Amino acid sequence: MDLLHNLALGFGVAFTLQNLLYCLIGVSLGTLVGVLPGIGPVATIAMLLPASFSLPPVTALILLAGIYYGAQYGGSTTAILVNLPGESSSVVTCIDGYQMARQGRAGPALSIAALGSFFAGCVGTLILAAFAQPLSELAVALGPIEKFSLMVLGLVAAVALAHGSLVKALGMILVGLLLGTVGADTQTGHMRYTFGIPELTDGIGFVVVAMGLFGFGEIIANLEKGEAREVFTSNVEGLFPRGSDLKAAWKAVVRGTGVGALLGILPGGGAVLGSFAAYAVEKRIANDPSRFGKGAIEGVAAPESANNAGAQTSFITLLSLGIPSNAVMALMIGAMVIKGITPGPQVMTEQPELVWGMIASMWIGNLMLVILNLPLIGIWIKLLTIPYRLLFPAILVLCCIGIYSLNNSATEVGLAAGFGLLGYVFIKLGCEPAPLLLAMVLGPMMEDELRRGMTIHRGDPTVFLKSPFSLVMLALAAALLVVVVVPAVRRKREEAFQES
Amino acid sequence: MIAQVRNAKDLFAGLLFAVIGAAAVVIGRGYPLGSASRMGPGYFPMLVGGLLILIGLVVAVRAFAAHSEPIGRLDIKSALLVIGAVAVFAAGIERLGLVLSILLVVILGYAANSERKLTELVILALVLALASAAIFVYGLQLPFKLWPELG
Repeated sequence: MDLLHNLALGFGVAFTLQNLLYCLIGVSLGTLVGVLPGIGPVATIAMLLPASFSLPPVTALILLAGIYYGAQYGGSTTAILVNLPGESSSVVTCIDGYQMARQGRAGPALSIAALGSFFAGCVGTLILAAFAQPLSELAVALGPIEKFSLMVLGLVAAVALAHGSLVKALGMILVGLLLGTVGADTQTGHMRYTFGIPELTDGIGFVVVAMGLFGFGEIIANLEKGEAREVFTSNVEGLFPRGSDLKAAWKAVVRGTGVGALLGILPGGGAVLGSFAAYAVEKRIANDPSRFGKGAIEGVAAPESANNAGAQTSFITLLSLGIPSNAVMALMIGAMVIKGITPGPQVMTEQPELVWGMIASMWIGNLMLVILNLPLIGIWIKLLTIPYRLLFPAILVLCCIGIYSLNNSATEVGLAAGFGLLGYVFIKLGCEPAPLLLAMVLGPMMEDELRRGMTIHRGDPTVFLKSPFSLVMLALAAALLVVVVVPAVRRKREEAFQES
Repeated sequence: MIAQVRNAKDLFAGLLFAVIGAAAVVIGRGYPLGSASRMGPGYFPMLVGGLLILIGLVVAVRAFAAHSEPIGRLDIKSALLVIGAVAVFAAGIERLGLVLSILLVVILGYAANSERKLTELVILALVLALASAAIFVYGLQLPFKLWPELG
């Protein structure tokens, strides 16, 4: 059967010494970054992009992907022990996880989180393997109009399903689209917004923007907050969960996996959305909802499974359609472009070993993670005690070196500084930076498809409504916007995010 | 009656958006627009810029409607120090070399801390500079100048 053949191909690729090594490095780094608050997978992937230059494409992607789903494992450690989400997808885990720690039950919480994450990661990878191929075959049938509408839906969904002000997020998308136009116009070669700066001919590097907005901007915001962490680390004994814990938790794990996997596929999905939704589901169907917030193990098991499942399945739209569903995927596309791979459905057929190698390596990575996380918890805990004031200068140095080494361009470092300032301003004004990055990556593609579509259809805008696929996409986007704006839903949405 | 600005975040966010959109439109007005069936380089930026101005106005107007937390103090000192550190790296990397640039970055960045200990700073700066030189220049063979050219 095709799937088995592809998986065999993939494992063949994934099991090379080099790929195993970089998978290990990726997931370890990811866990590290997930544990440490104040730095996340987006900034780390951006930092490592330059270093991945010398690696073959598969290896580079394996490394970077490992960071993403590895961070989902690490984030739970800090959430449970310090009540600080190491990752935004671990925010919900803090609620019951930290309570469990305070009750001396940090061990079971941590191990359920790890085991649930492993289960979810495996299932997520399986879904990825099963659906990636058929989806990409479907995608080939899409024309420019359909692709444009799909990307519009993707962008809208990314903000509708995320937290924060919807209108401001739309604004960030538009800013991102504009930033994407900087440089030489692909069709005419006409320079746009370059102000005579030669480095801008190819556009603003998204690594520059990513590091500026997410790296530097976050650092400033963190410094402003100051540090105050109470860590329940002294004795994390009894790592293995009691029988009763397992019984209570396993259903939550399965449900969380389901929710997370589904929501991860959606554009704008990924780990964060899934974890919030899974927690809400558990609370709603629990026999005794009052247990939640006081150390209910389902409150840890479900979101932790959901975020890992979501992290895996969010690769589906990337690998099959070439469309990023969240900021991390946008960076992965960037990585592929740097390696000379044009993302899209054709990658599956033209370079199957790339796609399947990645998929196989994700399963291996999950295995490595569950082995790494449980015994090594002591080390992660020690790391948490590194004060931020020592950490962030190191991050600054790494970012600077990373940006410079991309194109040997000091100008780009300077640009990143500017984006850092902008990023801080955005954070203070309550504008989410992630949609901007997403739009910046999608923008050039969208403009391309728009132009092509309009040329084919002689400038007739109604063609967006005449194509059934496009109509459905745009209708869904509009519906999402309406639904989010309607007060009742808005309140529910705020509630869900308020609980963190 | 003077309308009450209840939401400073939205007001400034909206203004920021409107300004960026306007800048895009104004700077880009020279780019050939083309037509809908043959979009020139100016078409998309004009479209998006225009929409951005619109959204900016919507956001700003909302500032008079809904409450929100205040922006809070702007940590200008940290912002300037962090951005300054990066800018110094940009200015120094080619003239002063990697080691000196890193030292400057760490010193400037660390200064943003509320808790500052001199010995800690010195050790941190030296460790980062030497480790970076070891990993990136000797290990990964990246083409960085380590030291300034003298003479």
